Amino acid sequence: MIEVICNDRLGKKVRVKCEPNDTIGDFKRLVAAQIGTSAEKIVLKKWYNTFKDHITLADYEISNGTSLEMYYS
Amino acid sequence: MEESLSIEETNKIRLSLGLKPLRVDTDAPATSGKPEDSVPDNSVEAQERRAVDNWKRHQDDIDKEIARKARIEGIKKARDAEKRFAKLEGKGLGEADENEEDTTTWVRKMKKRQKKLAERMAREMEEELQRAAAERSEYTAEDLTGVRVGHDLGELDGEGMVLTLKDTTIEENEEEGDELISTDLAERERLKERLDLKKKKPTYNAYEDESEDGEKRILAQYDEEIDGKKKKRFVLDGTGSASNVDAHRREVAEKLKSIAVTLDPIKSEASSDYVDPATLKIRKPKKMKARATRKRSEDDDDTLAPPPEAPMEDSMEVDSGSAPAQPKPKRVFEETSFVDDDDLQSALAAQRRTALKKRKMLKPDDLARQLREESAAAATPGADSPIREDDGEGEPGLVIDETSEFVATLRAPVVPERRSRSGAPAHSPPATSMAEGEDEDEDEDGPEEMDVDIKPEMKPDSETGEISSTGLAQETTITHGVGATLAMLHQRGLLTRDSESDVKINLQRDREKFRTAKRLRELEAEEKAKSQRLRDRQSGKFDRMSAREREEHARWENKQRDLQEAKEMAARFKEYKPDVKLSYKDEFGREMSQKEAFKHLSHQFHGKGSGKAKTEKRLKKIEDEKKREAASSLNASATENAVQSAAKKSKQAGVRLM
Repeated sequence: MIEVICNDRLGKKVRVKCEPNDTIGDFKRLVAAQIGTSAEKIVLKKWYNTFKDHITLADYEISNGTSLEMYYS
Repeated sequence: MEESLSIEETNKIRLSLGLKPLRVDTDAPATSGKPEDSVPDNSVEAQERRAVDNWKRHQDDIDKEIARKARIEGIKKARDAEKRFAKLEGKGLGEADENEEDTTTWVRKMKKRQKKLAERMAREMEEELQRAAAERSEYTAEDLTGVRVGHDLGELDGEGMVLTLKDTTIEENEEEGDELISTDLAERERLKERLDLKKKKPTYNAYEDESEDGEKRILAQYDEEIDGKKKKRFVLDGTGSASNVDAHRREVAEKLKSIAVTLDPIKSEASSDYVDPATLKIRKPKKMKARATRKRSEDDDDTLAPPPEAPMEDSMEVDSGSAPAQPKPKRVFEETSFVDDDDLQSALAAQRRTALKKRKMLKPDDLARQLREESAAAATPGADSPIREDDGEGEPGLVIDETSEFVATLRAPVVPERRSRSGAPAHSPPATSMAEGEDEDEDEDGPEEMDVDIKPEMKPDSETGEISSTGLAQETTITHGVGATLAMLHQRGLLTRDSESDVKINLQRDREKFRTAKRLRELEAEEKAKSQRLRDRQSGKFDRMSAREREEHARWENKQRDLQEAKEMAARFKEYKPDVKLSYKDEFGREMSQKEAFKHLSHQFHGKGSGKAKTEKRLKKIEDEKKREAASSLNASATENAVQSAAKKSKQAGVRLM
């Protein structure tokens, strides 16, 4: 189990518990459950890299304590 | 700040989303610690753990390998060291000998050795003695039996000769045995051989059968090379004489026999076609060069020079003629006198003389006569010949005919005009027009000229446009006043006349009229206004009004007047025809063409002019124009210029034919 921090810098910052082999899509649904925004609206980025839904966190080398940028589309 | 759910809540959500529940770290090691887990653990941590294990195993392997190599290396080193020291086995210098002999054995050994040495010495002594005995025995002729001598027996003369053993290689010695030679004789033979080689005798022998020893051989010159040199040698017998003396004798006898002696008397030689030069006696001719030449030249003079009686009549000419003729033959013979052959020379001289005689002698007076005859013959037919010039009859140096004159006028039409002006004035009035100049030239006599001069004055002016009989237009003059001058200028293209100038003039007049009318009307109106004002004042109209009212009234009046004037003007301007002409002048006051004006405006608008080169070009053009205008006076070349410029303006290329 790892914990990933998502911050939209507009007042929402959540710490999400997940598994490294969860996909980004799963992770988005977890985030959506925590912040109350629908998962489809969430865009996760690290700098200019937009994470794609079908790829796992481990593949993006997202480990415990990593913080991601969260945007809404 | 950060919102975070607990693990249970997260798990609940995960279940609702259809995901696996979270694996909490605390029980993770417990599961991974058991290898008997049949299900392969694919979690990231497990993978990492496995990776670490793998890494450790790999490292262990490497370590083991290194250790093994080190061991092998150690063994090898030890083996090498052993091998190296294997040679050094045995006793060293410092080490004590184990099987040391005792004194008795050593003494025995020494005795044995001494005995051996003594035996050897005795044997050597014996051999020495034997050799000495052999040497002491006498060396006689007997010892020389069977030894060969490398020379012909005949070569060895009776005197004592020192023969030595021949210097040979071991191989040769093995083959042939000892041979005695005399170094002297050998040397002599070699020298002879060399000399023979130098002579280079022809190898080809036409009479093959007549070889030295009578035997017939094919290509005898190669015998030596094929068979080797034939050596003359003999073998000594025990008595010290040659063993085969008899054979030698026989050989010599045979040789003598083989030389055949012919008994026929000697035949006389066949007489040659040519006389033997040795038998002939030749008288050597005496050489007397200088004398001979002089005599001959005198002779030639006798034959060649004309007889002294002939030139008597005109001796002067003969002298002058013969003087250069004399040295000529002399020179010729001087040249030939270097030839030694007398006969040839005399023959040549005779030939030359006959040739000279055959040729007719040309004397100067003869020549003159001949020429005269020829000229006379030429004159009789009556044709004009260039020779007549020589006769000295008073003929003009330059003949000018119609053709040449015509050609001259064709070339330069301006020249005759000028000449007439300078040459003619003696008998022609100064008022002679330039147009008549050309006519004048073609006329031959003075009186006719006068007539021609008078004629054009009586002719009307309208005739100028016609073309005269010469094919050239009549020249206009400036003698008839300003109008004629203007006409001439116009004709020459110096002045240009507008086609609609009449219209323009009319317009100008109209405008002038209009302007005067307008001024008159203005004056009238003013007058009227004045009188009105006066009337008003007199009627006491203003007295009843206040100052303000008065002012207002005046203004109203003025306004009315202006209005009326404007109306009138509008009515009048209906018939006004403005003549609009845009003309632009440049900084020199020159009229600019449309193009130039456009350029100028454009430059003004954009605030920048043309560059240096273009400006210069333009300035030059203006300068040229000015110059041309200044130069375009009355001279005829100006006309050409005018025509050219006109052609340029009308954009018509062409050459003016004069």
